[in-house]
Parts: sequence; structure tokens; C-alpha cells
Amino acid sequence: MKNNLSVLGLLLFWGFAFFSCDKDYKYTFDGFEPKMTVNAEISPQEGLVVQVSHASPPSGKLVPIEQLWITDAKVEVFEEDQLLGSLSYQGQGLYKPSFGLQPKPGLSYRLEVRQKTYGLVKSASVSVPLAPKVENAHIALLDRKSINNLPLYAIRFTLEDEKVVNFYKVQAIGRSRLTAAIVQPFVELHDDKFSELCEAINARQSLYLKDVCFNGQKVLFDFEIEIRDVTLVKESGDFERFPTDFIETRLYSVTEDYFLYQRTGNIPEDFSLAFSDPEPLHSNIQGGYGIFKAFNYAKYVFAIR
Amino acid sequence: MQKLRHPHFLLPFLLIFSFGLFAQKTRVNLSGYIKEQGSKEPLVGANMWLQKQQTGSSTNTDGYFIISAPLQQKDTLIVSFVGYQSLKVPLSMQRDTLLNLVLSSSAVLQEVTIVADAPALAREQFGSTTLSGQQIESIPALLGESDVMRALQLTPGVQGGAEGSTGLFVRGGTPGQNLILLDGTTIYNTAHLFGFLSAFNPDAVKSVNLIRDGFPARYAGRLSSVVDVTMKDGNQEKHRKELSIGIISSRFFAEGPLKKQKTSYMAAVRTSYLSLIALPAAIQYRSGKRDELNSYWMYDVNLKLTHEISEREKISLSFFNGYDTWAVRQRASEDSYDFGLDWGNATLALRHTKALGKSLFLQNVVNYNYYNYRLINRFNSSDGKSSFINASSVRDFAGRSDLNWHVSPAFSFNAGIDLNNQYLRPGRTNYSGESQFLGADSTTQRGTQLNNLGAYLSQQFRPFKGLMLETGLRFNQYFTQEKQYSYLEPRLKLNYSWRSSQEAVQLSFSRMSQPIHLLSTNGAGLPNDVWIPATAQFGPEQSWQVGGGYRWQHRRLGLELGLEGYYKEMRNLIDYRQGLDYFEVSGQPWQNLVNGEGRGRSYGAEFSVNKTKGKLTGSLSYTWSKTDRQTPGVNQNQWYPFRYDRRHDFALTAQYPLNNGWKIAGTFEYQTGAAVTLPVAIQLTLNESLVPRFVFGGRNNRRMPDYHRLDIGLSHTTENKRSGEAQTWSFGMYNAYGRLNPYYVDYTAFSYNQDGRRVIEGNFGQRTLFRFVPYLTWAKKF
Repeated sequence: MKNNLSVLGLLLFWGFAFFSCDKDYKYTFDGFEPKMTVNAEISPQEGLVVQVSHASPPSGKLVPIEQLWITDAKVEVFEEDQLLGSLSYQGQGLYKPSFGLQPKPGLSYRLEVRQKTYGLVKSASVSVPLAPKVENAHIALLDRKSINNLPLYAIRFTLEDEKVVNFYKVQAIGRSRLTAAIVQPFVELHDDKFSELCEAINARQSLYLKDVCFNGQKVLFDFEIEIRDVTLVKESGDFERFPTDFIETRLYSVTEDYFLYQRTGNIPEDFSLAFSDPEPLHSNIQGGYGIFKAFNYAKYVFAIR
Repeated sequence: MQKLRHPHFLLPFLLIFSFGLFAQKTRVNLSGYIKEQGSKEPLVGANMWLQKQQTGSSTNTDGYFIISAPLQQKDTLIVSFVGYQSLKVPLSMQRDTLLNLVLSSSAVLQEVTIVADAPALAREQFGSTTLSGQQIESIPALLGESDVMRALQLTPGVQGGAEGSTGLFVRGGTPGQNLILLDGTTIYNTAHLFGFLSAFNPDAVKSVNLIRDGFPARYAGRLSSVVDVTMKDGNQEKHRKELSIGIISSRFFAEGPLKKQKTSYMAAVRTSYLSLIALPAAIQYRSGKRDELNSYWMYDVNLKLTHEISEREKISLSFFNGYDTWAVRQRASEDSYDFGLDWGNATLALRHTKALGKSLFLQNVVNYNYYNYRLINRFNSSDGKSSFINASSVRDFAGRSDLNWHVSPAFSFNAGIDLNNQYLRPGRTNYSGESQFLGADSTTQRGTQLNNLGAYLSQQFRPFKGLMLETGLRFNQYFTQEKQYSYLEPRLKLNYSWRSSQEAVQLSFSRMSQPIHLLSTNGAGLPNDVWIPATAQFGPEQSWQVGGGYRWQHRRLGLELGLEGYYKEMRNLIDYRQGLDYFEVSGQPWQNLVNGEGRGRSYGAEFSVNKTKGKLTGSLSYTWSKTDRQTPGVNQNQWYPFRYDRRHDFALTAQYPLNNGWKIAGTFEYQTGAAVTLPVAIQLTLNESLVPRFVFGGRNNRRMPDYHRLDIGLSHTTENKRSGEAQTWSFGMYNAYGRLNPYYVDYTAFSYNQDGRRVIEGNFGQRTLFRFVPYLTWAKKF
């Protein structure tokens, strides 16, 4: 029996040594669907910018980005279905209006992009939203630190929501007097009714909200942000830190397409891929990939030093 | 209240019921129990055959049978069961007779040679599979842990889902559409060890019957299958114990008489010792020498007391409790983080059976069960404490009564009623301390009551030799908190057998409904699956299925062959919105997270061969199937392949006894790769050039590589025939040829600087979970 037990112990060890034997190998994918990608944004603050590019294969190919820019596209913008004009190429796949275009809230815009390989690609018509009605905004340093032991600030907006379906985005930008670089901290909700009942999502350090839980009401939005130093990355690869002097907070009204694009950008990762399906990235571009986003925002700048 | 539609369904049933009532008394009924010699354990699914009459029957879950023969005739009753010596009983049919018969295990008399002189009647095997505890333990298993659910995955029409998991996907259904019963009590989560083991201790299991087609009217509440697990009653003659030690868990089993031939007990305990292996790490963590600790523990307990009040009446009390707990503890300076996940089932069932006269069999069951899942996150820092708890539970009080009446040889009749009070508390959350801002406390909110009432009538009508028409009608009334739902569910079977029932064809139709939904982020039956009740917005799931097939037997060779086909449609399916993972769904009201009104369709052909006689025994099954889903808001509302839609599914099992107590067994499985949603391109993003994004095509637009695997096992048993003691060593290898089977495919798109240029690249990688997994177990019977 004693001998049996020692054999058992040895084999148990052997069994566990092999239990998690796991090996990765390259998975070759042949399902590439090449299409033109049109990414565009329109807002009263930042005007219209359109980026046109090729899509690249999903795997197995390393592609320099400059090979993806489409430089010969004809990009036309329509306001209320009336052609306003063609955009001119600015480099890095970007097209901007060379004529005076001041996007107006409430008006609808759409794009038509022509290119010899892909033909005509159209965007959906998007309406530039009204800026959110913010009555006031405050910032306050909290007496507790963040999980990273950094200063924590509370931001409060008083928002008057219109009685239609609205989508919002909250963003914070930290600036230093000493550099043009910025830092963009995560924005977190500090109010249970919004996280519990609203379709709140975090994406790209910003917070996106649908007004399902406060439609048509005056609400207080409380957020928290953790203040980090502004980091300037030099060409050499070194970086330099600067203290954050100002916090610029922005409350955006965004289109539903914009909201859905961000929501569907979160795909399952690693082990969860064994069980979850990714949601296709939302697009309002017919015949191609990409998104035409419209937004409008109110901003408040607070000196914190 | 939803009104009953198509009441004219009732007419044919009423007509058929009335035929049977006019039958003449020109025959006698033979009824009784078939038991195992020695233990007096009733045998489920044992077969009876009247040699001259060329008719047969089989025992029910209590080992009870009724068979009819013409008055005043002499005949021989052959009784057989796989793994037991057949018995021949000469009979003279003078009057209704009660027969209590015993079969000897073939292993007692000779080397393990499984014989079956009269296999089950071909017609009784349509759309169902019965496995005995002995058969389940003979299949080589992952880490040597024999498993009921994994054995069922090898049967036709059943898929296993992800590698190593014990989930069952029956004819395109999900694990939440399987009615899993343990001694008549519903088990809501069968997962141990995140689904790698099922909750059923193989030592405690007498038999399991999986029904995937032609559902008898007594079963209801799930769309796709019934998995009816029967626990052993316990040896009525002598005390017996068994100890098994494996890599993951150890088991102890004991049975014996409390009062000889009257009252017996059965106790089976299983526990893992992964935490014991991690004990040194726990000591180091407590003494501050390490900052992270992982621990896992699971156990299950099965207890059963059975008392024979008389030859014809029996009462049993079964208890089951299974529990898993996983904890991760981390420490960083003064801060600490604890994560815990635990889940478990507890069931209690009181069962009473009585043979009334020579032609009636009554069964009453009352049961209670409770399933609970809880996730706890605790964070302690110098600033204070915070915690997040997410929990979900289901509690049932249920009772049912079933009556079987063998009115005449041409007509038998079943009726029953069942009541179930369910209390569901899905997705309760509690936030405290610093994390209060994350969400509202819903632990004080009341759960949802759901009351189900079911009643059924069914009959088997045999107008002439070989033809059987089984019709059943079930009425289900679901009282949800918001709305009442009523359903009439017809169940039909038309069967014709010939050549002494060695060949048979069958057609069947079933309509099913399901008042609760299982929300799963994984589809694998993991503990964080949440059971939710039907509501006004998300009504009960419904399905209908037609099936047909042909079966053939060669009794001398012990060969059985089956070919079946089916078509099934499902509606009112609900699922989480795509793109949600486990952490996103925790703490959110489920109503905000789901898509309802989903539809499903599945069709396929199943081929099976079983060899139950001779030294080489085993089975082969092949299923060709197609399963699609349509979910509003998903895949542009177009149909798409179900994740576990596999065109080809092949399984082969074989056992062969060698000399001197050695036995070899093997299993080979092949499946078409699972459907998976993979990107079709990478697109750049505006203002986010460092973050290229994948573009996805349709849902489940591609297939992972095919899955195949060979498991082999070798066992050696030494037995002391005088004392009855036996010792068995088993060892083997799961995935013996080390196939890199895909568990999932992951993908990453990224952008970086290379030689002064910015480039983007996407990478796909296949992840494999198990390769060359050896096992060793030791078991001793005493």
C-alpha cells in the first residue's frame, strides 16, 4: 500500500504537470471583405472632417498605415440634401472643406464618397444635435484619494434634458501651462441611478449615456476623475511629466449612431471569447465601413492649481 | 390571460380513450419488480419478453413492469438487462400474477462479458437513451472523473458545447432547455468545477434516461430534452462500501440495509482537494510570505433512504447537496482584495410508489430544491472598505402524482397532475462602502413568484399486433406575476414493429413550453447563468418537434441499429444582447440586457449502433444536423448558425476485457468546428489612429477547426471472491494523440511603429485547453 501511494503521488504530479498544456498557433483567415472606410465627424465647434481609407485584412498581414489612406476620393457634403461642395485632401487620408462650412444644430448633413476602386459610398444623413442645456458646472477636490492614490475631483453638471431621446458624452481633459500635451482621465459616474438604469458605457476614457432614466427631466450629473500628470512623449521616446493645471470638462450631445458606434466597440477579450459573441461595430455608411458622427458640446474650464 | 387555441385537438384523444374502455378481459396481467440479486436494487429499463406471444415490456424508474398474456396459455418470460444474466421463467397464465424477479450480475459468474439475450424493444429506444451507472463508469473520462453528462454527450443528437464542459446541447437546444431531474427533483445547475464535472456523483447513480424526442406527456417545462437521473436505493441485503481516489476528487460510497429486505440506505460523498494541494500557499499567504492566494473546493452529498412498506408499496427520501466555492485573495501593502464565487444546489424529495391491484401503478413525489449563486468582491484599503455582491437564486416547492393503468393488452392509460411554486431572485446586487456609487442595492427587493400547474392524460393503444398509437395531451398553466399563460401540448407517437419487435418504425410529434429562461453569458452551464421567469414582455419559450425513424436489432449478436430524423422549431427565446461579457451583466437589471422573441430551428439525422453482447461492446453514433437562430437586433435580423451548430458529430466508444482482470476502453469523438464570429476586416478610426478596429461580418460567420480526440483507459481489478472485496486501478489518457483542439479563437488588432513607419496588424490565435491529460484513479470495494 505504501508503494502504491508513492506511485500515486508521482502520477498525480505527472497529471498536474500536463493538465494545463496549452499551445497557441497562428490561425490563417481567408475571409477578408475589402471595402472603403469612411470615418467622419461634424460639429459646430470643430467643423467637418472626413477620413477615407482602405480596410486591411483581419490577420496575417502587416500594413503600413500610409498605404491605407485613400488620396483620390471625391468627397461631397450635403446639407438638408443640398450639395454644399467637395472637400479637399489634406493628407493622412483627411478631407476638409475648403469653403466656409459652419455646421448648424438641427440641420442634417450627409456625405457621398466616390473612388474608382470602390465606386460610390454614402453615409446616412445625420442631424447635428443641439448643445446640452447645462445650467451650471462645478468642480471640487475630494478629501479622499483615488485607487491609484492620486487626487480625485468631483464634477457636477446640472442638465436640463429635452423630452426626446438624447445621448450624451462626458469627457475631461487635463492641461498644463507648460506644454500643449494633454491628459485624458477616465470619467466615472458617481450616481447609482444612472449606472443602474441608464445605458451607461465607458469607452476611450469617456462616458456615454442614454437618457432613458431621466428623459425630459432636470438632473444632476456627478462624476469623478482622477488627476494624473500631463505626459509629453518626445521623439526620442523619452517622456516628461508636467503637473495638470486646468481641467476642461465637456458635456456632449451626440447622435445615436455615435453612441452605438462606441457601445459596439467593446468586444469580448481573451477567455470570454470562448463564450461571448462580439457585436458588429455599428456603421451608418452604406456600401463601406466606418461612421459619420455628429456632436455638439458645452465646455467648462476649471483651474485646479 | 392567454386563451387556449385549437380546442378541437381534444377530440381524437377523447375518441381513443373511449376505445380502450371497451376492451374485454380475455388476458391476464403479469406485474412486479425486477431487482438485482444480492442488493435487491430495482433495475430501471430491464426488458421482459414473452417468447411465444412475441411481446415485451420494460421496467419503469422503480423497476416495475406490467405485461399481458392470453388467459390459459403457457409461455416463457425472458428477463434481461445489460450487464446481467438473463432469466427464463416458465409461466401458465391462469390469473393476474405479481412477480418479483432477480437478475444476477454477469460479472459475478464470469469475466466481464456483458450479455443481453433480449435487448430493449426497438420501439422503446426511439428518441431516448438509457445508460446504467455501470456503463457510465466504463467510459474513459477527463481526469478519470466518470461523468453522467459527459457520457450522454456521446449519444446521438447531443453535443457537448465547449471542450471538457458537461453542458448538454440537445438537438439544437441550450443547456437551459434540458429538464434535469434527480429522483424527480429539478436540478438547476449541474456544474461542478466550472462545468468540467457535473453535479452527479457516478457512484450514486443507478441509471440515467435522456429523452430527446417523442416526449411522454408527464414531462413538461423544458423545450429540448429530459435527463432523468435515478439514484440507487441502497443494498437491502448487506453493507457495502467503496472508496475511490482520483486526481481531482475522491469519493466514498456506502449502502446497506437498515432493516433487512425492508429498509436500505445509500450515501455517496465526493469532494475535491485542490485546496489541499494549495495548502502550503495558504500558509504562506497567512504568514505574509505571498500576496496572492487561489483556492477552490467542491463537494456533493447524496443520501437516500428507501423503505418497502409492502411488496407493492415503497417510500423513499432522497437528499442531494452540491456546492462549489472559488476564492482569490490578493494583498498589496495595506490594501487587500477578496474575490469569491460560490454556488450550489440542495434538493430533498419524498417519493411514494404503490402498485394498486394488478394493473395500476401510482407514484407520488413532493420535493424541494434551492439553487443559489453568489459572487463577492471585497476591497479593504486604508480609506475604508467596500464590497460588491451579486447573487441569484431559485427555490421550488413541487408535488406531482402519476398514475399508470394497464387497462387491457390493447390499452394502457397514464394520467397525472403536477404543481410547482417557484421563487426566483435573479441578479440581486449589493454595493457597500466606497463602491456604493456603482449601483443600487437590490437585495431587499422581493423576488418573483411563479406558479405552474400541469395536468395530463395519455394512452397507449395497440389495435393489432405490432401497431402502437400513443397519444397524450398536457395542459400547462403558468401564473407569472404579470400574466397568465395557458398551453395545450399534444404528444403523439405512432409506432409499428415487426419481426418480433426486432424492427420498428416510428413517427412522433411533441409540443413543449418553458416558463423560465436561462440567461447565459457562456452557453456552457456555468454558475453565473441566471434563471429568470417569463414575464409579460418575455413570454414562455415554446417549441414543436416532429421526428421519425427506423430501428433494427439482432438479438443473438446483441446489435442495435437506429436511424432517426427530426425537425424542431422554437420561439420566444431570449438571450443577452451581443457583446456582453460576464462583468458587464453583473449588477444590471436583466431586462435591460436581453433580446427577446428569438426563434430557433433545428433539423438533422441521427445514426447509432450499439453492441451489447460479446467481449467487445460499445456504441457508435453519428449525427448530421443544422441549427439556426434568429434574434431581433442581431445579425440584421437574419438567421444565423447557432454557436454549437455542428454539421457532423461522430462518437465511438468501445470496451474490451483482457486477461487477468485487465480491461481496456476507448472513446473517439469527431465534430465539425464550432461556429464563431470572426472579423472580416480592420478599419482605421478617426482621431484614434493608434486603435484600429475590427469589422465583424455576420454572427457566427466562420468555423473553428474541426474537433477530434481519442481517450483511452486501462483498468485492472483484483477481486477476492470469498470476501467480495475488489480493488481497481484505472489509468488512461484524455486526448491521447495530443490534438490541439480549438477552445476559442482570439484576435487582436494593433498599431505600432516599425522602421519609422506606423503599421497596423491583426493577429488571430487559437487557444487550446487540454492536450495529453493523463489520469489515474484507485478504487476499493469492501
